[in-house]
Amino acid sequence: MQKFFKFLIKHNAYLLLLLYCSIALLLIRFEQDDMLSKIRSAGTELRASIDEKISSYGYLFNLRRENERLLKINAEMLSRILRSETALRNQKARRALLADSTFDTSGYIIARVIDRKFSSRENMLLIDAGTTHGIRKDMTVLTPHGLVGRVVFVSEHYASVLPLIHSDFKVSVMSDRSNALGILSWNGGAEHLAQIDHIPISSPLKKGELMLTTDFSTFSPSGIPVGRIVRIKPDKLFYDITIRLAVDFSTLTYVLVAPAKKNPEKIEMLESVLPQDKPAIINPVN
Amino acid sequence: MTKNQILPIIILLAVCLLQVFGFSKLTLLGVSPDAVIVFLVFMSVFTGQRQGMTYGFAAGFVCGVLSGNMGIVLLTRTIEGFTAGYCHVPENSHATMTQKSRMLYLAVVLASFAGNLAFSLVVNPLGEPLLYRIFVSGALACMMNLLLTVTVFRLFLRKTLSE
Repeated sequence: MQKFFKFLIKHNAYLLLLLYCSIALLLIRFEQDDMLSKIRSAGTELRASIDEKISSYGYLFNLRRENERLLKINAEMLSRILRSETALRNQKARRALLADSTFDTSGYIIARVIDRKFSSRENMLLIDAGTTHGIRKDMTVLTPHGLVGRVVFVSEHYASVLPLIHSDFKVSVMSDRSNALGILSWNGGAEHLAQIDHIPISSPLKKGELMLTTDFSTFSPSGIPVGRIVRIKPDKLFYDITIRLAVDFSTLTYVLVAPAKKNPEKIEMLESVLPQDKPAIINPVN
Repeated sequence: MTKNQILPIIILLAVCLLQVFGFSKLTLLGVSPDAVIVFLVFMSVFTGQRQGMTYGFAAGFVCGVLSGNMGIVLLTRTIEGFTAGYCHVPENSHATMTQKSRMLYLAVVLASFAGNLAFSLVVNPLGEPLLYRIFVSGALACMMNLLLTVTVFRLFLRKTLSE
């Protein structure tokens, strides 16, 4: 008996190995047993649920990249739509799209609105793209829905945008049906409404017409939607028009920055020809 | 239970989860690095063969339940712990750090090879020739595990052992 215990103490590691291996072999042998099958299926379920959780975190991490990818596609599609719509509107001007060197729809830059200052009159947006991303002063800021504003100040990584809903912002607009031209401005108050001036009452304008940017603008490409006419009232010489803006400024998160128009000759000409005190009527853009 | 008993159990569970949900997805020619073996070898070399084997059995149970091959994983992990125990460095051995690290690396190679051999003899899931599986996949597994052990040793274990 003493010899047996001595043997056990001396070879306890081997005996333990034997015990563990026997258990393992029994589990292999009775793998299809009900009890073991249940444990296996529970283990598989646990693993699957953890795997799913891990992959869902990965999905969350990829969301931003995915969002940016979709915005790029969106920008590409928007540029195509703008180009084709411009071409359709200018059927008389042949090959308008190719001929218009100032309408460069490639190279749109995506930026995120990181701060905004909204008040009853003075609004300002801050975007997370600056000179390092290719942003320059006077570039047009827009969304797929329509015009947002104009870049007025650029730093290395950020840019300030003067939005359409700022009392200093003015842009030349035209009707998509009648081509009636006017100047859009915002006089404060509701941020989804703006005013259009200088459209003579002889113009065949109707409620619901879409207003677009024109070629007259020194910074904006033509054909960008601005809003729809919601109220039209004839005055002495001109209409008193209110439009509902195409862009919802309260939910603005991402914007596109269109390349700047490069036409210094036009600007120089306008500045030299026009009297300094009346530039806004013919060249309404700041 | 003391801190010295609870800590290895927590580490064991963490390593098993890391292996099942992380390292098992990093495969090269059907072989993936084995974080569990590094833990088992460490326990076997520095605490003894029986302890290493018991940790191997426990790790096999956890990994087996999660992977669905309980019996086979249990067997291979136990054998790995047992094999690594042959390189046991007793606490009062006065072995230098270089000697300890050498024993650790040797134990990793032996345990990897033994585990692979046991696994190949019991099951051959890829349908590859047995010798190919033992020597080619086994050698690759050994190298991967050795690389992982060297990394872990240099980053964490050396500091732990010198204390």
